[in-house]
Amino acid sequence: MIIRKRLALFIITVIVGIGFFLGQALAETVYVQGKTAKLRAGKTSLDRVVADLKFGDSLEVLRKDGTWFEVRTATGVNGWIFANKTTATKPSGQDDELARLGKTFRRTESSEVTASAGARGLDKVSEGYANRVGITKQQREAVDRMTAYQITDQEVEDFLKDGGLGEYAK
Amino acid sequence: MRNKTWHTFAPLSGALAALAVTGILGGCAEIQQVAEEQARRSGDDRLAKVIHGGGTLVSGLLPIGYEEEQSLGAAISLQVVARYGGVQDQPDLTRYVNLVGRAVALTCDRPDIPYHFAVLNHESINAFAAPAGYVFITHGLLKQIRNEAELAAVLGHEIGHVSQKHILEVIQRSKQLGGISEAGLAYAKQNPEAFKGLIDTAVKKLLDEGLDQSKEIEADTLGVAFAARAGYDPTAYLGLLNRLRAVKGDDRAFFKTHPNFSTRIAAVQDTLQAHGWKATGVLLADRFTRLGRRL
Repeated sequence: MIIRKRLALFIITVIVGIGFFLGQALAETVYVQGKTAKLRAGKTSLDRVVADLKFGDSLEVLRKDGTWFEVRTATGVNGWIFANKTTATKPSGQDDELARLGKTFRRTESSEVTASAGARGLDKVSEGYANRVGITKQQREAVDRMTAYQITDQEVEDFLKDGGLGEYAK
Repeated sequence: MRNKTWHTFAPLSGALAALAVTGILGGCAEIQQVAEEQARRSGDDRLAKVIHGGGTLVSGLLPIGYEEEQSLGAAISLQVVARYGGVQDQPDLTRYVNLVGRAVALTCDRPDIPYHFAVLNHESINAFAAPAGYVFITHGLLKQIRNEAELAAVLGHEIGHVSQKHILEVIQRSKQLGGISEAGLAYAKQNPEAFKGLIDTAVKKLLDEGLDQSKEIEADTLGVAFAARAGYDPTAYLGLLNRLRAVKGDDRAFFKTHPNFSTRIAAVQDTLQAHGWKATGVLLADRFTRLGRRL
């Protein structure tokens, strides 16, 4: 009798285990594709933001509804994300391990920026190159301005909203 | 005497070599430097050279990091600006092109670097990208564009070149072929002539010869995909390519640096079909006329 009970308990445990394993294996995972993305309480851009997501965050898909996915974040927050902000394959970062390793070897000095260029303009190497090949002051300033030109993520968000783009589609 | 020297320094050489190997494989330039200096101090110049050479060889095979990419991108951009009549100085137009470009770049496969957009004072029909997110469109091409979705796809094409590091591949290849091990800031300071050589190679490929045709087709596909992700009509790009084929003809390439229009149109049609992308999304012709036509 005891053996039968133990056998039944064992079988139940195995079935539950397999079910859990299959559930995990079948759960669809997507990743945040945009630089940032908003997780919302509902499936419209008017719904409250419940979390700010960043590039590469993994999300478990709970439900799909048109152009929106209901997802759960790695920290357990549930919400809706615009489907175009996600990708099925894990995106790679800007500098992979090998590139970082290369940088260490080459002993680059990222903080070296010329005083004339300001904190965000041309670096010393580009300035040196410009001097060497006879780039005019005007041309140099054009690339300098281009490099230093700033637009905030919020301004882009407002621009998307104004145009009815992405999750702001009318 | 030779044998004596060898026996005297063999244990030290072995230890230094082990230290250098640890540094090289572990990616620690400081360890490699200490081993190199120690070898030189102990009088073994040959070992110092071997250690230095090991680090140089490894670094030459490693990909270019973002900070170096920035120096290369800025230097290439200086040449683009110099050869294409400078940059249009119209704040509203600059802002608009940057907003459209940023909207697309935020959805690309490499959204975590800054992208910079500018309109070139040139009447040819062209667009360029340099490493580290520098994107240029000529006044001539901008005049052919009818709506924001077309502009988004053109900028998306160039963003695709950056995100896939197409120009960097050219530089990396020329680095290896030329036996140049480093392209970084420290190297450029030590050897500006070799740095200039790398930039010359990249500029020649970008502005004169063009990238491989497969890279251009890939960039077209990515441009359409990025613009669609941002919410633009993915079929809009076909409209622009068809218009340019009518204007420029199909016997010659759109630009001498790109595949001809029919090839590109067919590839874009295949992409649209493969992904099931329809004429959804927005064109924003009015906003483009209002903000992008301030020429």
